[in-house]
Amino acid sequence: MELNGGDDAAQARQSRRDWLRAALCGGGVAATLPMVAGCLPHAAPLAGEIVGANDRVGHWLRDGGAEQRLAGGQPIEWREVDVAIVGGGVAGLAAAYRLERAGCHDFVLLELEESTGGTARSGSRDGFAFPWGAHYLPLPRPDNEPLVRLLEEMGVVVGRAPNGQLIVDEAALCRDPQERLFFEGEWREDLDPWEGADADELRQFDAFRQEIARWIQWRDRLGRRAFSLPSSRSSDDAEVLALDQLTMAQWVAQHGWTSPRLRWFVDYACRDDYGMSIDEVSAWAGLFYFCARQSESSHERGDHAPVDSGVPAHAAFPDDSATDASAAGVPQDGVVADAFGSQPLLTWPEGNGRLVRHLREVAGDRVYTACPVLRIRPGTLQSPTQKSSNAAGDESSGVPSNAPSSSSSGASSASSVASSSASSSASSVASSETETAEVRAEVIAMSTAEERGVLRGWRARRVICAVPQFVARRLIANLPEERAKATESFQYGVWMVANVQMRDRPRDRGFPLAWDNVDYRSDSLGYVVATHQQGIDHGPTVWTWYYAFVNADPRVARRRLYGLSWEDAAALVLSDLERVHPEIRALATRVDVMRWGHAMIRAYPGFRASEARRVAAAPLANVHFAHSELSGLALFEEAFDHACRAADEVLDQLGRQR
Amino acid sequence: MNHPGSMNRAPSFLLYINVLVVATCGLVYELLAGTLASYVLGDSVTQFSLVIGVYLSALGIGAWLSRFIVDQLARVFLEVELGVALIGGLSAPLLFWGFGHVGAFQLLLFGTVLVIGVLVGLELPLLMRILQEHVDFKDLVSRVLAFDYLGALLASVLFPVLFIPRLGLVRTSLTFGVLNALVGLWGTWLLAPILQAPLRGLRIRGAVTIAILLVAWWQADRLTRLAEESLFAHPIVYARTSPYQRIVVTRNSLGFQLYLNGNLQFNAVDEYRYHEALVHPLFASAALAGQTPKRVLVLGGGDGLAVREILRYETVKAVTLVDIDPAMTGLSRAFPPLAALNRRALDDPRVRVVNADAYVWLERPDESPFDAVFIDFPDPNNFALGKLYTTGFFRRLRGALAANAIVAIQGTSPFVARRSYWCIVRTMEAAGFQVAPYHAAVPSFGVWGYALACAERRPEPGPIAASVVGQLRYLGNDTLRELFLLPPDIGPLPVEINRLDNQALVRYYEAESRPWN
Repeated sequence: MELNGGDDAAQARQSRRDWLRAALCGGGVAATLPMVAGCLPHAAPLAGEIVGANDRVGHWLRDGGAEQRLAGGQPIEWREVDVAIVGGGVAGLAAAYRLERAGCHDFVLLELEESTGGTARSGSRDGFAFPWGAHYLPLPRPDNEPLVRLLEEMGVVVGRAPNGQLIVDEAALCRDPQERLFFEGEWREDLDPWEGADADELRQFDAFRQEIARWIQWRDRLGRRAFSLPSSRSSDDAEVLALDQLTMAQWVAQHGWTSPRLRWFVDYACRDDYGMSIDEVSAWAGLFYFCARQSESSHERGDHAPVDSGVPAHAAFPDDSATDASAAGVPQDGVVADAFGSQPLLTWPEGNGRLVRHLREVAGDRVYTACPVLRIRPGTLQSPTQKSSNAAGDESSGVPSNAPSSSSSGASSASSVASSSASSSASSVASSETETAEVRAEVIAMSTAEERGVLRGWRARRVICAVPQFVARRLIANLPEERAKATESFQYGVWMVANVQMRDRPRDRGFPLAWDNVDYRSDSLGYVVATHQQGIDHGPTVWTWYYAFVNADPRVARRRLYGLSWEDAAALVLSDLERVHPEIRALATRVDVMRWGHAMIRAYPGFRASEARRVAAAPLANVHFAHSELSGLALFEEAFDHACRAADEVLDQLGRQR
Repeated sequence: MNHPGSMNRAPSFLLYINVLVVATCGLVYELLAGTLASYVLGDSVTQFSLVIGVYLSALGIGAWLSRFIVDQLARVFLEVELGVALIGGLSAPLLFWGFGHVGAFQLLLFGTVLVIGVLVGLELPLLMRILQEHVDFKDLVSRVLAFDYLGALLASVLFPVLFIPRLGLVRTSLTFGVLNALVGLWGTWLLAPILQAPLRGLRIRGAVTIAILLVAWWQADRLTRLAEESLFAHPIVYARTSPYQRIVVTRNSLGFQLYLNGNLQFNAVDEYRYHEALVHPLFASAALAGQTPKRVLVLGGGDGLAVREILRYETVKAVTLVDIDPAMTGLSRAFPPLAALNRRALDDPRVRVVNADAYVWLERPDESPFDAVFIDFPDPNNFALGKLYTTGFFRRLRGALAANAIVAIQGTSPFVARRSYWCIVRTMEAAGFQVAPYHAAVPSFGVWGYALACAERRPEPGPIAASVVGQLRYLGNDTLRELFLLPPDIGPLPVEINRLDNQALVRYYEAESRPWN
């Protein structure tokens, strides 16, 4: 295609790029669609499809499907269970993991999708595994005990060095070279756009680093860091929270930094981690990215060790000051996490899908997939005051008491299931006779798999609601006014992720293929090479390409996303890659596209400090909440932290030992 | 004006120039074929002898065939000349290509020589018959043959002195093709008086021939880059870009040299020093501990030369060679001088060749455990190679080892790249090996670094098996012990450990080797 009629082809290419910009950044999509579909050249027919996130069921729920289905029939059975977990993303799975490890085995986890993992889901094809979303985890600091324990179980953390640093299985650490940037016509190591920068820009960059370093070393009166992972350990000092009132761009401007390269660098970090531009994201969240991943000891050294704030320090070349390894007594089975600078990244070919797989294995057969929850009816707690208030006209007055009342379903098997599980909750039943009646919560779910449309109910002593608020508010019956209002503060960014199968790798100018590859000029976030971590450096591979819709109203972006056909989406992906890899169309054999309409919580100014976040995180009778969005940060560590918190709340109330 | 007799003396003198060019070109093609055959097949006496024999007899066949041409002598002469230009001009690229792709290379070689010889053989008789009507026979014979032999002298002097050093084989071939075709095209004007119209078809064919040869000249980079030719000390006899690396073989009077991505892998003159030093200290160390390795793994080493040394031990039952590049292991089997040098080691029934990335293969080795491992990768000049020297790699390797297994590794030059060498040693130690560093002198490389490694004990130098020591040209028992004594200028330096997530070695190696390039 490129050979015949050079000018026309170049023009077509140009117009595709213009269209890409227009389609993704707010131009008229409808007008340009037919043109693009028509001028998509391929060496071989390109395969692929739109996969994943079950928006059909989601939209059916949104449009009142649950009400109709619930009005049209009763669950065929009711089961009793100690804990029902609603949602099988990282938060739900981690809550199940926490319960299981604490000895609470009587739980179910209900997930709408056919696979668990949420945005940390992964896929595989032709022997290659690849992520569909989240694809790395910074090594937690040693004091993040719950997460470190998970990694120890997985064999990722294999021990601790005498100085307390974690020893990590080398295979899980992101293999060097980690990042490269296409800038000024060639690939360069690291995300480092400073080639040819003038003295003023370099000075600004240095000042930026120093400001980041200042925040890393900042401590409040209680000795807490300004930004810490998980964020629940961060300071809530007014000086820190004041940052949440600005955008990152405003914070940069306040310091008088005008360098376009610095702006790009900060903007890229914000888009990559939060799906928001420098003009959208709060300065608190922006600084959180740069400061929270620092090793604990980097400040404690108190010397001028370069504080690597995710900022590209020039490739640290091993020099004379390096210690003799044998003298340093390096342990034999792992790598001591670097005591200085930012925490190393853990990654796997399938991204965070590896973490999901482990959590899912722990939860085992208590996980029900393709099983969307249609309704959560909170029960009442055991306390006398709760009981009296609820005994009156609570919305769940129609809820049957503890006794299994599955007769309406006519399913004889149901009662036996219920009675078998009742043994575990016998004590509570017995006590309820003498003291107060604890009313269990009810969770009704519908199968979308083989028993299509069949309803099942669970009566649970506690519910952990691990779905985002925009879903939770539709599931929870009679949501109190204050909570309903709080959910409106939760906004969600829109992402598109594509996995591009390649028959071979393109030839490159400059630095060789890295794990993460970014084009300075592109609106996309670049691509991650799924075979990198396996050490496969030749031949076929899979690239995972990321795009966050920024600088647009999420609702408009969502409409635009769902308006894209596979042909449109594949054209966007290849047009973007073609800028840095002109031969991409001859090498790509397949493009699969995931549309994430609600990819991650938006960390807009004011959200972190908002009351709404606290309201949404508080328990509602016997329903507890767990989700990364409750931190305002779509990070694995946050989902895990909230899951542990919610599971611990439940365990406390069920009177179990953690 | 179109009467043949009207040709004056000037054109006929120019026709003698034509004879000169034809003779020069013809001999150049012959020299090209002979040189190329001796490059790729070795044994230059045999190759030149056969090529000259075939060429001269083909000249005879051509001369004899000329009697069957009765009409339009001038036109046939020019068409033959264009044919020689095309086939002769493309002969070197054709033969280079054919060597990599055609099974019966000798058939292609002598077929090409034969065709060129027949066509050149046709030319002189035809030219003499064209001229005989205008020149006295006595003068004709003396002049034509004088120019013919003068051309031969010109070719044989210019070929080695000017063309091969400046242009390389491929472009020399194409250059003479173009010259040949230009003379042919010029002939359409020179012989216009005796040529019957129309001449346009002939001239177009001439122009097309020149165009083809010029395009080939321009594209010759794809076979052997002009820049690349100047990078190597000796003429390139084989070049191929595989998906993994660029393989180039050069040759000089002492033997040939293999380069991967521009880096010398071995020189046939002294490779025995390198490979004896890689292989025998391990067996000697095992013998000292009372072991006889039976199952042997070779990682890299697709040239088969390490395997040649390993196969000297009859106690070795099985050798698995894991090399990423089928083009490299294929060359070791099919490239006659290399197959001769490695004594067809890769075709030995004890040897199994696996084409895979060693790092990926070691994740699930289909045969293990091994009693001895030889690591013969190229120097760590890129990240894909650097990963093969990391703690992650060496830990994987440990999973494929039998108890007390010994590993021998080549570790670049401790003189040129001292930190790189010690980085490899320390990285193996960090992966749980006890390491005994040693070195050898390989003139083509200088001082070269190796190490023996064993998880259970520190390997010590021992005696070489009596059945083997007599076969070696470099190592004896005294020499072997001395390899383990490192002079201070290549002694240990503090270094970082090479890990998958820091690739410290690639950065050391780049910094240390840069000043030497």
